[in-house]
Amino acid sequence: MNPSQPWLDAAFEGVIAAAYFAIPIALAVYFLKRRDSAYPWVWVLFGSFFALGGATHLLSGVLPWMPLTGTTLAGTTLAAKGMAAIVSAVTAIVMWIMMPRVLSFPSRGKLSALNAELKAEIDRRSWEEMRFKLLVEAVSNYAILMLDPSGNVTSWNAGGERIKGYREHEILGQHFSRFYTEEDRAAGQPQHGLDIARAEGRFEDEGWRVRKNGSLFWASVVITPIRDENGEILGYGKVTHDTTEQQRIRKALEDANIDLEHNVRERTQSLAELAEQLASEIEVRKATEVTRREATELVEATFSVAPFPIVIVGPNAEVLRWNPAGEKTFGFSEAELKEKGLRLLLPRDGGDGALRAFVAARAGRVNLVTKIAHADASKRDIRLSTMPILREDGSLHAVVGMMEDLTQANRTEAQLRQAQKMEAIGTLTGGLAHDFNNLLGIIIGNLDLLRDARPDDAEVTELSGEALDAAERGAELTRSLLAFARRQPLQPVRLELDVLIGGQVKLLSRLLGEDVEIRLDLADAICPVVADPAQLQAALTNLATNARDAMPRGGKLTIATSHRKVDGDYTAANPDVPPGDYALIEVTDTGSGMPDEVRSRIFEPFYSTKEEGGTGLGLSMVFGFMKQSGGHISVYSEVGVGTTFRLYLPCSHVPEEKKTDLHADGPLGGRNETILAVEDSEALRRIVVRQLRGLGYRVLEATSAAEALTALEGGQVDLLFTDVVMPGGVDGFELIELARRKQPGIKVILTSGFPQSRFAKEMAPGSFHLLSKPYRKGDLALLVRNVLDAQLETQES
Amino acid sequence: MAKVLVIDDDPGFRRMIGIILTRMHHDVVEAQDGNEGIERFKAERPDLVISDIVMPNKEGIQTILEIRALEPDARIIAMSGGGVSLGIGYLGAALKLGANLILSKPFRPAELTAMVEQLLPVDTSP
Repeated sequence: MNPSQPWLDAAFEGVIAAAYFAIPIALAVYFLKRRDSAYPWVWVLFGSFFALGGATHLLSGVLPWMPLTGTTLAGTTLAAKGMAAIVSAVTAIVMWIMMPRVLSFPSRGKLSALNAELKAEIDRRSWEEMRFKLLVEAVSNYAILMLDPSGNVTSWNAGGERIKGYREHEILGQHFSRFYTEEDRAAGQPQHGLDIARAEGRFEDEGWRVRKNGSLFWASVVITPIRDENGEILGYGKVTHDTTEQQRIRKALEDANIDLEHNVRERTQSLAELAEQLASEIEVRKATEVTRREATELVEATFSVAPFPIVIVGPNAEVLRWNPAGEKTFGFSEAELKEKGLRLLLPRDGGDGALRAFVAARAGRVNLVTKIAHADASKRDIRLSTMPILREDGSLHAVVGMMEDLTQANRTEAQLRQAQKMEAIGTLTGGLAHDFNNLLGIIIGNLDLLRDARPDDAEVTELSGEALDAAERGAELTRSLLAFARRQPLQPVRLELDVLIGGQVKLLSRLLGEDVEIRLDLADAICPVVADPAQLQAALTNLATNARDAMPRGGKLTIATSHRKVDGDYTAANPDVPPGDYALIEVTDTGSGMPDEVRSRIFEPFYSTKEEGGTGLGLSMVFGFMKQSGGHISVYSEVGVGTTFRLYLPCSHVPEEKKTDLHADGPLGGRNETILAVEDSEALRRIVVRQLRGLGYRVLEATSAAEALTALEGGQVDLLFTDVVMPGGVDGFELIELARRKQPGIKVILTSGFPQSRFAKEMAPGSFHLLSKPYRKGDLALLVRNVLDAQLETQES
Repeated sequence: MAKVLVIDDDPGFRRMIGIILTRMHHDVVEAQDGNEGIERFKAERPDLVISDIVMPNKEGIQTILEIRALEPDARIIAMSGGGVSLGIGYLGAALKLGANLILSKPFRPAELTAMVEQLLPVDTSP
């Protein structure tokens, strides 16, 4: 170099240095503007490289001009150059080292693409954000706001304004705790909500919140935390819903529910109480029901087994119930009575006392003795007690009538009364007769003495004779009275009735006259009796005389004897007759018969139906004689048919009784043959039905011929067992005729209060069998079996 | 001639029987009931007693029993207007309990005469 050019070199050196210094400065400015530049230390190194390069160039331009020793100059230049060399080397090394990393930076094109993409994304997001923002702002039902991490409001929407009353500018930046009530704020509720949201990701709450104007609203709040990708809290989203109305409704509903629940509870309670009551009621009722059922059963049983008739009548006099005793006693079934009513019980000839008692019983208990009808058309004496059964309200439920059948008791009582009356009359007449006999004795004796004193005085003889005749008649009368009074002297001896009666027939035929036929039907073997034969003959004469008088146009008198055992049924009806074996004499006429009122009095002394000639003592004598002889007399009579007197004299020696096997399976028992029993007397029908059933027969019952014919229509009957005399106009004989037309092979047995001999004319020998009442079971069994078997043999042969 | 005791509560009867017996020439002693009859029997020792049955104080059957006890061989006729006690006629009872004969009232004097003659044979009279 030449010396003319030092300045120029220095100038160039200065410009290079200045440029070199300018580069790190530019880098620094850039770096300061772009702090996020990658690898900043590389920029520092790069800047240092340029700065050191500039420094070397500066030293090169300045130093020649400095009054410096060569050594100092040379040393300074060397130092600068050495530092520049180090930094440059380091920078170069770093550049090479960094080359792969720098190369990984996107190229410009790629960056443009990325930028475009980014821009699009930003645009898209901006749109969504805007849309979301618009949406959030548009939502008015919900307050949707953003809080910063400390709880200050950072966004607001229309819902918030509507609900809480704040305008956006009023609330942004304010702490959200102002929405809380004082109490909640004091209790730290706002922060608590944020803490929970932060900790658990979601906080939900309901409660009272405060509007801008201080009024309260019921808010349903959800707070959710908003975090960045690193999980740092950016803030909170808060959605608040005013549910005051819902709350009010819910409250109202709750209240209503509470009311309802209360009501339901109350209702449930009362239902429970009711149920409890009901349960206990049911228990009580069950118990009551059981008690009532038992009581009902008891009452029903009592009703059924009561031995006396009970009828229950409704308010309209309709028959509700009629117990078995009623049916048994009066023959009407419950169904019959229910259908036909109480009137069925009234006897035909008036006497509605029973009905009146039921009517009167509406007012209170009625007791009376009256008559009611039996199904067999007879009348029964009853004692009737009727009483009202009232309901709780006092209305009439029913009238109950209880009856006591007094008929049998009355009959027995009447018989006893009759017996006692006869006894009393006997005592009276006996005493009277005794005294009369004394008087007559004096009269007769003195008349005789008078006649003896004046044997030649015809007048004395004639007059005393008249007086004596009268006195003798008087004496005869008193003897009859004594006989009735059982005070006549008797000379009883053991005698055979057939002999005695046989010996008397001639006398009797003379007494009876030509118009009356006399018939004897004397049993072969009959027990002997002990009696005064003269008085017995007198009794028979007496009966024959009465029979003759009953048959003014003639007829037939039958005297029959038989052996008769008197037992249960007979002595029950005749309490003054001791049971035992009797010889029976039956004296039967075909006369006019007599009605009950006559029949019941015929043994009373001085009772006479004869217009003249009757002393009224004939039958009384017979009665007294029979009683005095230990026997008994009875009479059976049907008006227009005849009369049978039965004289029972006790056997002095009881004949060996034929042993009869009366069991159903015995030789005399039934073989289930069907017997139709026709009997108008309820009592007798019951007895015969019971006896026949007991013997093993099937028994149908009928109370009249009409009923019997109906029964015959119903099926095969083996044996017709019928009474001879029956009401309704058809007698036993006619019934047999009619029955044989229906069932030609039917066997028949007749039964009657009259002895068989009474029906000799109607009954051709062997045509019928007749069982005379009263009969014993053995007689019945034997005859029924014989009749059935005999006809069977006939059929077989 | 015999002595006859007549016991009857009816004076009319006693008198009538007295007349009959007197006509038969017998002596008659009268008594109006059984008690008096027993007394008279003891005092008079009659040959025959005729006694009624139904009498006051002491009736005839008892009287007959007592007389029979006093004199086993006494001859006694019982008479009565009739009557039965316990099923036995008074006269029947009397016959069984001591009377030789019985006579029911009313009777004809001849009946009594016959009975008296039966019990008092003529040869027994003194």
